[in-house]
Amino acid sequence: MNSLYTDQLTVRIGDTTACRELSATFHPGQVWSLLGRNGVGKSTLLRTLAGLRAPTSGRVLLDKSSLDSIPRRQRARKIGILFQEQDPAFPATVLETVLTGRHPWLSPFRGEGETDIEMAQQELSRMGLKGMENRALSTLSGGERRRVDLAALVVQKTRVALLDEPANHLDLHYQVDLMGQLVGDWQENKGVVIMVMHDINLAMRFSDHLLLLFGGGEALHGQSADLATEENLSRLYGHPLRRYPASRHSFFLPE
Amino acid sequence: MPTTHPRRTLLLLLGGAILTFVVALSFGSASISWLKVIESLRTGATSLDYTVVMELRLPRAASAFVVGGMLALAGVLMQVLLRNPLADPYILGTSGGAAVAALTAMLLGWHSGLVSTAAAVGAMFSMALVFFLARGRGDWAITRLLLTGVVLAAGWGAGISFILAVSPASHLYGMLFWLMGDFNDAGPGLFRPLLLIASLTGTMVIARNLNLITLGEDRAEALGVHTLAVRIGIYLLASILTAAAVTLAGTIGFVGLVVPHMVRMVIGSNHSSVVPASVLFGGILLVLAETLARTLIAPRMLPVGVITAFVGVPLFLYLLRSGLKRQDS
Repeated sequence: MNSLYTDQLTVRIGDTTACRELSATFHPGQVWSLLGRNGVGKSTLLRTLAGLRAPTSGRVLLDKSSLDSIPRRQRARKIGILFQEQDPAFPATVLETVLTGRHPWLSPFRGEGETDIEMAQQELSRMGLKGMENRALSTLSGGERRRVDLAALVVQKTRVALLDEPANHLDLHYQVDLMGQLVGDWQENKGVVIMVMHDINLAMRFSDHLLLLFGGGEALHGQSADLATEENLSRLYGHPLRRYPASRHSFFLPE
Repeated sequence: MPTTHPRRTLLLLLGGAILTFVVALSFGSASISWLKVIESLRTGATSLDYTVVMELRLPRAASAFVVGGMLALAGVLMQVLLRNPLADPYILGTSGGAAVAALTAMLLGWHSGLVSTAAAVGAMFSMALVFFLARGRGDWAITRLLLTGVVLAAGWGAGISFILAVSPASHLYGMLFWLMGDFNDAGPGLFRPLLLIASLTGTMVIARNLNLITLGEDRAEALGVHTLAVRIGIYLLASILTAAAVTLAGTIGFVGLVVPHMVRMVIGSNHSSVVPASVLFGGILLVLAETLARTLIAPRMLPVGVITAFVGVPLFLYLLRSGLKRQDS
């Protein structure tokens, strides 16, 4: 239940091929990290997995149905995505922004109710943003805005969470604790997490599966334990990396 | 940003609208006695005061309110559509098309009813032109839409200058008044108020979609909004509202640009409140401007569009400054 599949998926943007004929299954309870160099098409692939962009060829499926056959509203109840930073056109407050996550669940004729606001406030306090409900987004720091967006994604209550560089701008403490909590929540609820990660060591910390994009459409996917080798990662980043085993997972440092 | 209670602000605006109507009906080049008006209303016997209020001032005030509401709503919608705070109802050329057609009709000596019809045809033509030219391969990118509209509007602007240049002097005064925006004593009729009410209701129903679209199209789409459908709907609605306003009162400037901003400064950016507040405030502002236009240098009249700027500019700058102060503190 709630698996996301790609079936012979090819994603191309301009001259860049992010992946070619990729057939992968993202099972419930798995946490995936999507790794690759800048401009290799990670965000584009993520948007395709969210159903926001049509595949060049092949299909993305949720359970048994192709994403383009699922009505948007239903899709938005099942798949949520955290984008890289975006600037709103007009000033919105913190609470308003978090409540946008409730949209797929609300009837067009009724506004957000008490439970929605409660849910939003609960998430805000978990994100360390209690008391900032009425602040304008523009007055927040990059890290605070990131946490507002994360809160909006959490209240969307989707089974699939797609995160584009979620740890960006976050302080070390939030990177480790908050990300750990969020990812843990999804795992516990048998959800799927797929995140574009910049930091290989954070990726190793949180994810059990990797999807490596080498460029030119070449991709590898599978369990982190199998894929996270010096050879693969050195080739991935075009720079020699060395592996340092530690108690729970290995660390990779550039030479 | 703002933390004022939207409901209280809306009630205040509603009260303000009623008050504005009383002011608009009370002031003018002739002074009237309300007692006589009420007596006429009660007994049915006409008096001069009654005629002045009910047949001259009321239709003008009602027209002004409806046009103000339409322009303000069109402004809100255009700003959302283009995700650009500088957008106004005229930015995509709808009004330019109306103006060129209206002026051409005036040049040909058509009577005023036909001038309005011509303006409506011109507006619809321009609206359709932008719609199809801006449509690429299925998508409808903001930048292309904006550029198409702005360039077309510039073209209409040149057309207006051309017509003014070749028109006989006797026509110029009427043309300039039309361009600056003016009301006659005809009243808004039935269609325009109904259009305004229907548009307001429709916009309120999709208000949350508007909020999401201002946050970013990707984001709205990811939250289940059919952004292309909503944006096309917004475009058509804003254009029709603009056309309806312009054919009644000419191109009254400023209302559609600044009213939505003033409202956002006070009430926040949630469109469930911004939309009704803008309609009310746009109406109020234009009724006041219309009253001033016919009283300031009475018995002569000023074009309403000039007054909206005279009233609106200082008000806008004041709100901008006080809003900045509030943000700093």
